[in-house]
Formats: sequence, C-alpha cells, structure tokens
Amino acid sequence: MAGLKDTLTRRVGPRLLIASAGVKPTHRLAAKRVRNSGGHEQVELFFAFDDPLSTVALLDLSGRVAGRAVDLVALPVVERGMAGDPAVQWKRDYAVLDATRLAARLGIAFSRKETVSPQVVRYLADWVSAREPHSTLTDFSVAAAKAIWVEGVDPADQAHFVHLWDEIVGGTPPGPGSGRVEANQKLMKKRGPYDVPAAWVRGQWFFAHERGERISQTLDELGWGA
Amino acid sequence: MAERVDYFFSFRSPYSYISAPRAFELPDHWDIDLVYRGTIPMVMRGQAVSRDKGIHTMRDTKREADALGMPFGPVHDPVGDGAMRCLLVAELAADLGVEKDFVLSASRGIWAEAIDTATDEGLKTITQRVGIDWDAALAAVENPDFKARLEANVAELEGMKHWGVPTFVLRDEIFWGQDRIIDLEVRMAEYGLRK
Repeated sequence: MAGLKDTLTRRVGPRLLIASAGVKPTHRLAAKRVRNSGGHEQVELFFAFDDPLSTVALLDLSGRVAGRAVDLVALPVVERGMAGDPAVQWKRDYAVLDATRLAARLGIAFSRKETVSPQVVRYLADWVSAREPHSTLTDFSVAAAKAIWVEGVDPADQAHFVHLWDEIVGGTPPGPGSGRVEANQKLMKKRGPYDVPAAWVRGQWFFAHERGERISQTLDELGWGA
Repeated sequence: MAERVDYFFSFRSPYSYISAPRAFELPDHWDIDLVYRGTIPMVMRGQAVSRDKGIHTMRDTKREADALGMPFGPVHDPVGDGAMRCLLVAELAADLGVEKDFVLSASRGIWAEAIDTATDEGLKTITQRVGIDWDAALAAVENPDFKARLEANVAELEGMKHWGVPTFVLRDEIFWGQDRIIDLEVRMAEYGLRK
C-alpha cells in the first residue's frame, strides 16, 4: 500500500501535472469561439499595490497586450502569500531588490527602496475593485503602481491618487468599504495562485513579473497575435 | 584571481535542475569560480510549501524546460532519502572535482528519467555514469562531515535572510531563480568579469 502511494505521489502525480501544462486544443477552440463572436481575450492579473513585482507585471503586461485583441484586467488583492510561511518578510524585502533588477530589464528605474505596508495602499485596491473591470481601471492601476514604485510618490498621499483617478477614470474615487477585494482574493485562491502577481490566461496561470515571454507565447498559441 | 559565485542547489528543486547546465557554463564565459553549495530541500527543513505551489512548480517548470529545450519528465520526486543521498554524494563529488558531472547527471536522472535515488540501484546508476566508486558513494551517504557541510550551507543561506534555490550569490548580492542568471550576468559584466 505504501509502495502504491509512493508511486502515485512521486511519479504519477508529477506525470499528470506535466501533461496538463501548456495550451491545449480545447483552449484554442474556446479562444476561437470568442474571436469568431468578435470578443476579446482576457489576461486577468491578480496584483497588489504594495508589491513591487506587481508593478513590474503591470508595466510589462500592459505593453504586451497592446496591439492584440486582449484586455488586461486588473484584479487587486491585499492578502496574499502562503499561510504560515515563515519567510514572508524576507520575501518582501528581497522583492524590492528583485523588482528593481527586473524593471531595469524593461529600461525602467525604480526609485523606492523600502517595502510598503499592504494596509497603507488598501484604499487603492478598494477603489479599483469597486467597479466592474474596465480598461481605465487597468490604466489607473498601472499609473498608481508606477507612481509608488518608479516615481517615489508617498503611497499615503491620497490626494495625489485622487487626482490621478480623476485624470484617468474621471470623477471621484468610490467611498471606503465599497470595494470587492475579498472577492478577488477568493477567486485567486480558487484558481490556484498563492501569491502575486499572478496572470490567469485561459486556464493557466503564470507569475507575471517573470513570465512575460511565456504569456505572450500563450496568447500567440491561442491565436491572439499582435 | 577569479571572483567567487556561490550556487545554492537542491536536487528536489526542478528549477535547480533546469538552472544547472547554464550555471555550470558560467565559468566558461566569466572569470569566476562557481562554488556548488548543496542545500537541503525547504520541505525537509520545516518551511511552508503549499499544495498549490507544488502543482504550479511542475507546470511552470515544464513550460520553462520546453523553452530551454531541456527534457522534463518522467519524474521521480526525490523528497526525503533520495534528495539527501544525492546531496551527500555530491559532497564527495565536489571533493573529487566532479560535482558538475554528478549534479547534471543526478538532476537529469531525477527530473527527466524518473530514477529513484533513494534506492541503491538508482543511485548506483548515477554514480556509475559519472565514474564515482560505488563503495565510496555508500560511505559518503553515512559521512557526518558531509552532512555538517549541508547544514552549514542552509545556515549560511538563512543567515543571508534567504530561503529558496537555485540561488546565486556574488559579493553578498542574491540572485534567486533559474531565470535570474541573466541579472547575475549583468552584474558580472558591470564588475568587468567577462573573459
């Protein structure tokens, strides 16, 4: 019995998972149906405003979907990471260094060198998640993340972001408590990603800050070429 | 004098496996000593590894391996004795100056040939193709000095406030991930280490 369990967990399980990786004919067919009906593909990005790697993903993916019939859907979260992970703070500290190097690959210089508390930027997640996903909300998310991490704007300076909201989305941001951040977190968990930035593309997910090329490749394979 | 680059590696990490060929090629292009540092798997030292992470890692590694043109699967997950025995024999291999050959052969065996390194038959297959004496390999598995080295490697990694592999360290700067070799190369170029 132990031998059977061993075989299942060490050999059969990995084999099934490996076989399930990548774009399958069913994915292509579903994408084709969307295309034939005049629709767009969606890349859903679970991200956090306190996460510098999410900023890299927002900046990179917004460029990658441009010119394709693909919408980048911004789904902000606040709570993330593996439960009980003892290395949470180490990971957050390292993320600043790592994101700075990844941004440099894109030709972007990060200015912020310190971590940001998730609670300090919770209001931004609330604002973006309060409305149905729309390209202006994605644009606002990109601009706000860039302001925090690239331009060095104080994330607690709500007046700056109220102005940014008016410029990009129009009007005043939604009131406190109107967001659906928890719904985004629940959806992220249901689909498998345990941390951000995670991009969901027709049944597959990717750590979006480091898999931009693979996401482009997946969109190409689904028929959503630039 | 060549610059030192530490390379923290785990046989249980598929990302370590796909990093290895590129890692061991670095000294061909850069004036560095790549120092292999065997690392006990996270799950065997009490760190959180969720089921979702395990699932994602297998799928993501498959996509990355395909992009690199490396075989991935069939697999025999070595967590436990299989990983530990490879780590201990790798210390012997390092003493013999054949750690590159052993690490490449063992990691390919685990992640692309489903060799069970917890068995003598499996481990012997690996050692034979690298030319390591089987009796010496068996002695290595019981060598407390080798085990102490591995524990020291983990302590050093954690002392740098780091947790995972593959990890490269150059002048105290950490580069974590098989896909961060490019950033390491940027830094080595900045330091004028290109051959």
